[in-house]
Amino acid sequence: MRSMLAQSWQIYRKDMLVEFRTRERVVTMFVFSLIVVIIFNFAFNAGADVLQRVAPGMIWVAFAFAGMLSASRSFSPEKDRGTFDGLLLAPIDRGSIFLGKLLGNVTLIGLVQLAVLPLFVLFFNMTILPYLSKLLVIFFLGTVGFTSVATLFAAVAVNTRMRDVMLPVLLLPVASPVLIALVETTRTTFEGGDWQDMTNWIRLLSVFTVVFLVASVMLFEYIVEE
Amino acid sequence: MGDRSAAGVAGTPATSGAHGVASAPGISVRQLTKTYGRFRALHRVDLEVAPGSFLALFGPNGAGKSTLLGIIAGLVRPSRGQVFLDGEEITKDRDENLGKRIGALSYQTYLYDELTVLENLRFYGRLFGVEDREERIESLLSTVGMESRSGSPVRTLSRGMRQRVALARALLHDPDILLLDEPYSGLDQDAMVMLKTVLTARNKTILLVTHDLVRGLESADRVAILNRGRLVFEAEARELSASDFEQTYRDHAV
Amino acid sequence: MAGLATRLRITPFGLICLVGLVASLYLSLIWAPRERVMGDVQRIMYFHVASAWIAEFAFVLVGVSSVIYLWLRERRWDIVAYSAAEVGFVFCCFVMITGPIWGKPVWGTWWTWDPRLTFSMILWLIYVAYLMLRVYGDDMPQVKTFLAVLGILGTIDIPFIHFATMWWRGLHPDSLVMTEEGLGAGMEVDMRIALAVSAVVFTLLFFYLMQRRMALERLRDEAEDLRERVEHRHPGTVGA
Repeated sequence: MRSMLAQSWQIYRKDMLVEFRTRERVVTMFVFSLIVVIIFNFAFNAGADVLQRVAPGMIWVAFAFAGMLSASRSFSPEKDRGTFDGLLLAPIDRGSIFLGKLLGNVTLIGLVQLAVLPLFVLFFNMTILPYLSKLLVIFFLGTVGFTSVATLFAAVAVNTRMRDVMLPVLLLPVASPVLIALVETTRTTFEGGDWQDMTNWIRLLSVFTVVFLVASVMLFEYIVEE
Repeated sequence: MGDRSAAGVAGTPATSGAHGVASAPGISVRQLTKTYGRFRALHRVDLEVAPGSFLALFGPNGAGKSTLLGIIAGLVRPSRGQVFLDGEEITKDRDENLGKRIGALSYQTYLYDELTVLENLRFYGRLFGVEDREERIESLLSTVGMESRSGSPVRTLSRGMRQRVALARALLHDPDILLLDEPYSGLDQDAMVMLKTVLTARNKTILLVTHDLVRGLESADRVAILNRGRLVFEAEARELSASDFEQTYRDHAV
Repeated sequence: MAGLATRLRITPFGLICLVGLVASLYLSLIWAPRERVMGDVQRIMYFHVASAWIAEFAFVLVGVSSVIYLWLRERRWDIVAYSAAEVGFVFCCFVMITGPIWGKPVWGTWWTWDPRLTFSMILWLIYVAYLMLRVYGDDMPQVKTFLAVLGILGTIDIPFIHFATMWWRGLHPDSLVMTEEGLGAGMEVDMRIALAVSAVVFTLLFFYLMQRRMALERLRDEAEDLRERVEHRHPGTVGA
């Protein structure tokens, strides 16, 4: 177990170093999320009260698609340039490749969330400061849960002919409980709700995250073997 | 063959004692079959590579050569059949430590373009749990003649230079089995000589897959031809002349 | 060749299903009492609910056979999973069609994001993803593994989708079948009998269709084997 974490850490470090050199994923995700926010404004063309009601949904649509982008890009260059086989040849638990990739995706998506959230607040004229600690917990739980499934399905989709289309088709139905829970808890929080008002949702988020994280680590090994 | 191992560049003084000829394992492949959906990549292949020997495997595109290497390396799961290393089956459950024994060099370099030569080698060194990592990297880089470029991003290197770094990468953990998949592609003349030196060191069991009949024949102990997933020819390399073998290849692999 | 013909003949099991279907139609459409509020349109419930049960059951079967497939790596478990998914998808489509037909006169709208309908919709999408991966992944060596992974994750997901859709919309008041008191508490006894018969008959029908689908898949494998053998004997004559 310890060595597995150490191995994931190596993969994570390598991925972050590559990302630091290219800034490919962070930049595309950030720009993408930003465009989603702006386009949604056009799409609704509504008053502030309506916008504030749809804001939680909007936030998670933007982050879900940005997350898919990151997950997909965490495998496609490795696959296309053949480095993925280099990782598979290593004497490591293959679950650690998954964990390293997951950790990288969570880090990058988290960074983009940190950058985009203030802009959301700005554009939609929302209050965020009093809810910050709650949002942090919700965002962290949800992002880990969603990204676990996204990372696993990205590893599947990267092998298919229509990889960019296949990822949302595979991922979004399975991840829908997490997305529903995220939108609901985010909404409740912005409406000033307390933890008691969303116990069910937080439970669902936590159990989903744990169950799918464990399942993904276990199933990853099967996916990467030809 | 023991007398020849000392000449090699692959075994540095620190490690050649532990991984001499005696410890290089034999590979035996038994009734190996792999189907990809409707396509049969390998069909009941039986193959023996004696400990410390060098086998060159030839065949046209799609003959199943790379699939065979993939199965031995643990990248591909066979549909039926087994592979043994020193009598121990490796195809049943994945053994993480298999990676420590196998060095793979292919036309794909497994290197990250964005990272420098040194960063690439350090990453793989950590992943493979190489002891004395820095010294090992240093000595291998000078072996392949790349020490002056250790700080360059791989993206700035020529194809031949990348292949040299890939060679260093493959030998990093001092494997006792070498799996080579078209290793000559993109190599310049110097690097070709270098690779030949490594291959003639003979303290490792080597399985080479290539199109290049002449180069394969001159380095190997044994040769084999794979066609349409079946092993169609096998012989001692020294019993064959280059022209004979070319004729044999044409007879078997069309 | 006689062997093939026998396998595609109507079986006694098929006959039982046919008789069961007729009986179930009679019970549901004629014998069961007319629902007081909703009228005759409520009779669609007997098929709608029975199909919904099959759609869910079939996916659990996909998940279980997927686990066994990953464990044993035997083609037959892949066949079970695939057949269950395909037949289950048909029943799931039936749920998606009958839902709005029932909903229009009762709720006054074709579609409402009621928890049961939303659940069925998400399940339907997972079925679609599974079948799409099967079709578009046909040329991938690992497609069976990928499908097994999707089957397992989809099955694990079912309770999460249940709770998420339930809490999202709150328990819906129109439901006669699923109430807080339990299954079927809001129904008359005759209705419950008709529904139970319908559910049993649909289950039988599901297994019958699965059996046929599996036989078809095995025939395909057999044909493929024969093609392979012919090709091997005369290389280059069939395909390349």
